Amino acid sequence: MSLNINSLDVKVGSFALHIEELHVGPGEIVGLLGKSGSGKSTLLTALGGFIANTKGEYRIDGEDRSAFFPERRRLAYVFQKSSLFPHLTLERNVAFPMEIAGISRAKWRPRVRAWLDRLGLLGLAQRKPDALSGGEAQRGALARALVSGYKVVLLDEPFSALDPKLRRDLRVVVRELVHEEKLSVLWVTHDLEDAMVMDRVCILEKGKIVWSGKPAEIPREKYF
Amino acid sequence: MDQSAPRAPLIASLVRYAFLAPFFLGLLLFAAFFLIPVGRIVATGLFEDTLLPTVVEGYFTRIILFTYTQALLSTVLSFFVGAVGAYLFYENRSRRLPVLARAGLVCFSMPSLVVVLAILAVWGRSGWWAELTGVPVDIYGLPGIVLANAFFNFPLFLLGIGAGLRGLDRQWEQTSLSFGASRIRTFFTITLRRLWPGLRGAMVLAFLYSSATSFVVALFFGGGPAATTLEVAIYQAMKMDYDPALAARLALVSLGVSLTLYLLFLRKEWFTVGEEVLSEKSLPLYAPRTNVARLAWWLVFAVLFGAVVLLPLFALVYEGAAALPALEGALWSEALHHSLVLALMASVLCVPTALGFAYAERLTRRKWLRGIFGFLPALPLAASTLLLSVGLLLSYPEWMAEARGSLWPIAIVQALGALPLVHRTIREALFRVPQSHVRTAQSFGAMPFQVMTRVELPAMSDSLAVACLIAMASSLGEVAAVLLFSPGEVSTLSVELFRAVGRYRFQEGFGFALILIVVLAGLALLSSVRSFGRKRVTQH
Repeated sequence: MSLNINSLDVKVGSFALHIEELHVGPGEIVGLLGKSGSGKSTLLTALGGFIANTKGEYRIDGEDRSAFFPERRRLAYVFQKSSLFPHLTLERNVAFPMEIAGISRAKWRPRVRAWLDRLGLLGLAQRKPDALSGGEAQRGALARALVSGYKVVLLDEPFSALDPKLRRDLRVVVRELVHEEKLSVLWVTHDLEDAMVMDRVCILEKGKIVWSGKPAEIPREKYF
Repeated sequence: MDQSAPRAPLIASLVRYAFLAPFFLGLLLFAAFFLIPVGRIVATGLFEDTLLPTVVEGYFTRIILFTYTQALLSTVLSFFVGAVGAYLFYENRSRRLPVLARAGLVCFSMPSLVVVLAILAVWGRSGWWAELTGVPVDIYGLPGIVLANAFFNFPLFLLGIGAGLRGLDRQWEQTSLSFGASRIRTFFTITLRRLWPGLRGAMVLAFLYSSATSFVVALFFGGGPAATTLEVAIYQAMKMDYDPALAARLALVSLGVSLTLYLLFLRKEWFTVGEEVLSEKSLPLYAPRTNVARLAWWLVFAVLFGAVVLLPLFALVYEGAAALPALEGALWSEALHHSLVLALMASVLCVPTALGFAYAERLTRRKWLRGIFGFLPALPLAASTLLLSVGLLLSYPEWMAEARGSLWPIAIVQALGALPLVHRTIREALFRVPQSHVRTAQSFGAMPFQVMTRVELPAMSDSLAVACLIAMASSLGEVAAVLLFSPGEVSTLSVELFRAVGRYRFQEGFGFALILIVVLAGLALLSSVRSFGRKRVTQH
């Protein structure tokens, strides 16, 4: 499954974002880098359908979903701070997409536990988010995104609140999962080290992509 | 799991949010039973050519002056009790904080008559103090009114200042101290300024509650032109003089002052009853340093809190327990039944209405419309249940005559009376649900209805429980609507208490008051059940 963005225009107050073309293929991680206010998170928010003033199109496997309601776009989000629901256990959090789809507990449980096991969280399944560390919570959020079965994943600075060691570990986890599951990932980050696990990087400035290429070729002195 | 379908803008949007329709019925209820009656009062008061003469007439000028003088003094006393308590409990990061916060809430929700009796039990002419010392205190008039209002309103300061103290990141204070400023100077130049919005909100609210909703307190402790408030004068105009036009003119004065204060000071900053939030950087900078200083502060608090709250409550429970066996069983069980049914009805009307307003505000994109949805439910703050009852009698005289004896008009007025605080509690909780949670749920396929039931309402459950408690407690203590709509036909605990005290049968009153306290404590306990064992203090 791939994500294609064509001539996307987003307006939030006086800020305007324009993306002429952006493609994320299956098993590919494309990074969005740029200074604060450059429009990185705005792009993800617009893709999710949370900004009304959006024109243009984005397609998933050729289907234009830019006019869909947010709940029908089939995009898995992972936010900067844990977006795990505080009133649900880790297991129920991870099962959330399947519960919403009406899948019975008997059916979702093995799948959820398998993903929790894979991410080293099985022993924490019955804990609530306030009893998890930052790294555990973010791994939980990743597990939920993967359990959903959605093939397009949007990561909005998912590890920026974690310490360097945890970030390194989680980058590797994401890299492996993307390749195994053939996910198309759009990853917003400030961190150039995050960029090193990405396949391609786009640098945004004032709402426009001003550079794109391989992470190793980023002109650091010009943009950072 | 494939839910892909193109957007059909208007119809699809209406279908998506159709589940909110029952909540918006509450908005219609508000329009019919608040806006129209209050509009009627304003019209009657404004278009009668006697408004100005009424206001400047000596008798009413004295009443107006007395109303706002007692409100000011009540606010000052509430501030002292609440501020000292907040300082001691919050700045010392006491573990008893959730208990204290809930106790404060119970005091705030306590029926006026119960407080009147509690104060009489200690400070009345034959109260404990007079019996113990042989020196009777003349509690009637200004002192009794101020003391009773302080009892209700100190939690506004306790919780308002306390929440401010706990939420402050003290890095600016630390910077100030590091440059050699004293703690006192740092407090006045930095901390107080940061606490000021919440403090100002608590002050204005305490003033509003003391002036516009202290009808029963003023009725019992006041009397004569020297100690009558506007609310009592309105009641007398309706009940004794049968002069709705005069009641409307007086109500207009009360409404005007309250509304002006609200618009000037409360539109943005408000007192809220929410989760305790502890900033990890909120260091106890101002906690007493020596044991002597700590003891002195505790003594001040014990004297203030004891005189205003603890001793009256203890005396009431003691006297009530002694009087309980003598109460007529059939009478109090019927009163209890009516009270609980009314409280439930008021809660069922009030909470969904408040939810409707909060959702309307959250879902609306236009700023001015959001402002209206945020502002409207706070309006009953400026109009007491007495005033609202007058408005209903003026607006729908036939319907009110037909509905005599029915619980519905009473429940509607009680629900509207509780709406400002209930709405604020729910609104704060709804707006505190992180946008990221809502978006995450939607991105995983949750429809707006599922977002509400699976994400927002569970996240708000504590606040919803508190909101129900506020609505029910407010209904339990309300007498004006019952007295005006169905005198002699509907018996509630508060009304029986009112009648007992009116006939100087204080022992009977103590018994009813004790039952009311037990019911309130039970409701408070029920509303807390969910939070037992849960981590109440969250980190930023």
